[in-house]
Parts: sequence; structure tokens; C-alpha cells
Amino acid sequence: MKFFKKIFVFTFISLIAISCTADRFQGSGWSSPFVHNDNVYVATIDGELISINIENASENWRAVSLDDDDKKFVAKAIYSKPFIFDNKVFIGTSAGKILGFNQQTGLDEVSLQDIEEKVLLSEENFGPMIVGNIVSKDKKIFIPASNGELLVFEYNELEMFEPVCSYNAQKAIWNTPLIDDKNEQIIFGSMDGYLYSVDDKCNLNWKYDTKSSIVGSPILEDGKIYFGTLNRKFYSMNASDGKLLWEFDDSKGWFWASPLISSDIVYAPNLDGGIYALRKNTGQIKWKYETKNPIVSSPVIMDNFLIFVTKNGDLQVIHKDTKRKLGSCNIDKKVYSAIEVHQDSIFIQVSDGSVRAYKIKKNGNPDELWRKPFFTRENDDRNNEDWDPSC
Amino acid sequence: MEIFADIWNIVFIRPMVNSLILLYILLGSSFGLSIISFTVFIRMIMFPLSIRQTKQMKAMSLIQPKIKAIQEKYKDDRQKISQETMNIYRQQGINPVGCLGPLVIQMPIFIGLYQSLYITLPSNPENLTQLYDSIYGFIPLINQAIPIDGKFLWLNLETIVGSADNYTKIFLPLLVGASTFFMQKTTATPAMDDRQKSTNRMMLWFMPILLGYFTLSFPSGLALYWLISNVIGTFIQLIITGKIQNLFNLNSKLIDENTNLDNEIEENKNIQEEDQNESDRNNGKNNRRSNRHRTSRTKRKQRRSRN
Repeated sequence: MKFFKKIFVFTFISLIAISCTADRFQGSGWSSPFVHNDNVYVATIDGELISINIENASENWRAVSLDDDDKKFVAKAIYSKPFIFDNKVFIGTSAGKILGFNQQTGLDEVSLQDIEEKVLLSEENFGPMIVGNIVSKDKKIFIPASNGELLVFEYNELEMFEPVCSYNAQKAIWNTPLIDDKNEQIIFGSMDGYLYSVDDKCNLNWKYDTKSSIVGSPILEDGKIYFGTLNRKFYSMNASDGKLLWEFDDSKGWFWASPLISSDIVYAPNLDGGIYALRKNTGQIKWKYETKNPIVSSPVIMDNFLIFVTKNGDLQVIHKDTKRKLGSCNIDKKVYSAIEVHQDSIFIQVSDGSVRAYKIKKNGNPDELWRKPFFTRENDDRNNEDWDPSC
Repeated sequence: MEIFADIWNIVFIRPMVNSLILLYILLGSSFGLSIISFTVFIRMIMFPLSIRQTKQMKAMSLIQPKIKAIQEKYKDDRQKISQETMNIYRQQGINPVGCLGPLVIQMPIFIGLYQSLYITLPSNPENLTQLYDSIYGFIPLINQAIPIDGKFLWLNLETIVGSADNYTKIFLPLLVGASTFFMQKTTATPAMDDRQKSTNRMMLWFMPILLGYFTLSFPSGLALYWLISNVIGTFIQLIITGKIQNLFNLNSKLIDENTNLDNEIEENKNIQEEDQNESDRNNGKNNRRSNRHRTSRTKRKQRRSRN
């Protein structure tokens, strides 16, 4: 009995030690890299924006988004993808600010004083977190905020953003608003379960209740919208009036990442580790490609290749029609960031604090071109620039 | 290590996370009420453990004078000290690490709850994907309830206290600090020497200040958990120690038992003082008187045990 008692006590102590030391809540590289004019812009979990040369992976400059006081209480990680407006590169931060930097600044270090544009989403110092990507149309930008607001700002004659209007959903908006030019509307989903359509004056056109949270960004083709929800359902509806066309409810997990469309198939990645290929007109399943790990990162299509990466870093290339596996690469680190495509290469932010570039060869095999670790903290072994290509 | 993390998740985190979400659904989508009811439930489950811990701690305090006397008597023989100390423990039926036992069992529950609250109220996308790993996805209601609405009274339960409005930023750490102070005050065992007294005093002030400061970097939901847990803990402690006997006539036998323990501690102190005085007076030479004294002490002990 004494032996079992000791084993019991030992197990308890081990569990406590593990639970105390486990690094459960560390932020991860979420923001998708953005390629523009031979530079890759990447926003980091440390709240920095880094410009990297696409050819040789050298760092052009890096900018900070938070001062030391902000860092105490605000999540530093930047989730939103950088975007270009008026020749400046912008980021939306976790502190509810939108900061614009000169693309060509050429400085090694860009401080807060070098910010050329600053938009505050709140009168307080800290505004709502921005997770979804900010999109622009003409002189307006549309900002999805975690407090449930879709904010519209316009670039005025003084070359400054001024607020135009906002639409209040009941809960956070974590996805990227969709601009429907034909119907002159902006479509976005919210955690309150509704898919909303508003015009650029923030007037509601229609809304559809899915009764579950919408995290993945909706996509649009031929006047139809496609999106998934956390109650394991995938929907298609008319963009003009929000009328439901079909729904698919035969998945085992949440639809998180954004879907894709090619020819007559919608590809819907799921946290159950599967990619569902659904017929876009009926919602019937054509095939399901299964992996063992959730797919958080939004996939891309390049020629006949469907390229995606699982949460545990398994980069795979499959044929988009036959689902035949063509190539793979074990990144071996967690990946949350959406994949960015530029010509025949893809760019991924990895949670070890690096950006990686892969060339997708003609046979579908990925070939690692370069890897750029960007952490600068002292004694951070992730800073080690010696690396062996993973593929 | 990974296998331990998996066990930890299966045994503690997943049941706690799903219980919190189910309570949230049952209690009209109020996560504040879910936290409060879950904290009450956990505290109730651990009620017998709290009693045992208190009793063990008091029993330890009770024999401190004897241990101190042994340490004085055999100050040059460490082996003898530990031998005699163990004898006392055996005679009194005390397990020297017994008072730590309940604490050890409570620790993973509290740490698990702490982590579960973090997971259940995801403040960023990574945590929400982590929530996916922790829920029982086969229960459709749970999928529909996500994300949890963190609004409760004036609080936004997922917001870090330090970045909340000024009212929350000031009052929540104060409330957590004050409740920790009262909790410390009720659980503190009587000090037997100056060193213990000063340690107790330091802990009484240090812990509330520390926790109040930590609260600034907690989500408000965790601060609410600490606050409620402290309030219930203080309440339970007051019941166990019999300090609210007149208000709440609960478990009178238990109260009597503990009141007796308190008296015993006091009496033991007196005995020690008497011993000291007598030994000073007689310098340990008068065997007859010493025997008489021992007899009177035995009588007193017998009287106590009859009580």
C-alpha cells in the first residue's frame, strides 16, 4: 500500500509541475506574410512589423507597434495581415491601433515616432483587438474589430484617415470582410452567429443567423457566398439577398480557415484535419482528404495544386481534382498563419518566430528557399541562423 | 513529458472546461454565474479536505511546545531530536506531512481551474483553437455556445484587469487583495514563537498585496474566481473554527471538536510556561515535587480526554 501511496503522490506532484511549467498560452505567428514589390512584410507576435527582401531574405527594416507601457498589459501579437495603402504599409494591432509606415524607409529600426499614420479605434489608449484582415476599396478601409464593430475610415484630402461610420454586431468580428463590388456591399461574419451585409455607409442590407460563431472569412463567386461555422456546418447563399442555397453538415469539427473555390468545387478546410471538396452548386461532397491534425491556416491553390499546412506544421501539396498527394514538407513547428503566394513560391509565418519561403516545383514538391528567423531577444535560441532546409 | 500533459488534460482540464460551458448554458448564458457556481461546487467537494487540513495544522500547533522542549533538551544530538519528535507524532497520531496532503490534492484542482478559465474564455485566436482541443465536440450544445459571452455585471470577464476601465482596474485588485487578507487571517495558525509570528505577519500582508498586483495581469474572470474562492474559503474556515457558530448552527460537533483543539493549544502553552517556571525554581533537583507535578499534569490530561 505504501508503494502505491508514493506512486500516487509522485504522480500528483508531476502533474502539478507540468501544469505549472507548461507554456500553454504563448502567442504564435498568426499574421499572414504579405508580399509587395519584392519585399515580404511580416507582423510578429512581439508586435513588430518587419520588411524582408524576397530574394536574399535580408532584413530591410523593422518597426515596433507598442511602447513599453503598452507592453505591460496588452497582448503584443499582431494577428491582422499587413496591407498597402497610399504607398505605406499598414498594420492593425492588438491594441486597437492602425499604424502606417513608409515602405521605403530604409532605416534599420523604425520607432513609434516614425509612424506616418496612426488611427485609433477608441478614444481610450487601448482599442479593440484587430484579428481579421483590414481591406480597402477606393479611399476607404474596412476594419473588423474584436468588440463587434465593423469600422469604416476614409482617406481625406489631408491624407489622413477619418471615421465614416461603423456597424455594430453583437460579438467579435475575427474574419476578413468581403467586398462585393457588384452588389456594392461588404459581407462579414461575427461570433454572434450572423453573416451580415452592409453598404459602405454601414446600413444593413441583410443578415443571416447560423446560430453559431463565424470565424473563417466568407468567399464570393458568381454572386454566391461560401463560408463555414463553428457548429460544423458549411453554407452557401445568395450574395444579393442572403437567401440560403444549401448547407453541408457532415463534418466532425469546426470550419475555421477560409475556403477556396476552383472550377465547380469549394475546398473547405476543417479543424477535424480534413479538407472537404464540395460541389459548389449543390453542397454534395466530392471527396474528403484527411490528415491527422487540425487545419487552422488558410490554404491556397496554385495551378492544379492545393497547398495547405496543418497546425503541427505538415505542409502538403495535393492535386486539386484527384486529391492525390504530390509533395510534402515537415516544418515540425506549429503553423497558424495563412499561406501567401507570390509567383511559384509560397510564404508562411511559423510559430518558432520565422518566415519561410518554399518554391513549389513542377511536380508539386515544395523546396525550401530560405528561412528568416526574426526574434531578437537575447539568448533566444530561435535566433540561430544555421539551418538545414526541411525540404 | 507529453504523456503527463495528456493525462493532465484528460483528467482535469477537459472535464472542467466542459463543466464550465455546460453551466454557462444552464445558467442562461452567464459565465459569471457559471464561474461562481463552479467555484462553490469545487469548494464543497473539498470541504472535508479543508476540515482535515485545519485539524492537522492545529494538531501540529498543539505539539509544538513539546517539540520545542525536545529540541532544547537534546540540542547536541540531532538524531535523538528526530527520534523523539517522531515518537511524539506517533503518540499523537499525527502524520508530519499530513497537513500538506489535502493541500497537495487541492493544488491540481485549483491550477486546473485556473487554466480552464483561461482556455474557456479565449482572448485571442490561439486560445480559441486550444479550446477546440478541450471541448467535448460531440455535444452539439457546446459547439453552439462558443464563444462564451464574457460579460458579467460591469465586468468583461476575458479582459485583462490592467487594461480594463479605471473602475475595474482599481476595485477588482482591491477586492481580491482584501478577500485574500481575510482568508489568510482566518486560516493562520497560532504562532508558537517569535519567528513563526513574524512569518505569519509577513504572509498576512505579503500574499494579499502580491495577489492584488497579479490580478492586474489576470483576465477579470480569473479575478472573479479568486474573489469568490476566497470568500467561500473564509466562510468555510469560519464555520470550521466555530467563529460564526451563533449565526450558522452547522456541524456543531465539528465546531466543538475544533474549539477543544483551540483550548488544548492554549492549555499546552500554559503547561509549558508552568514547566519552565518550576524547572527554574527547583533546578530539576526535587524529584518528589517533580513527580507530584507530573501527577497533576497527568490528571489534567485525563480530564481533557474525558471532555
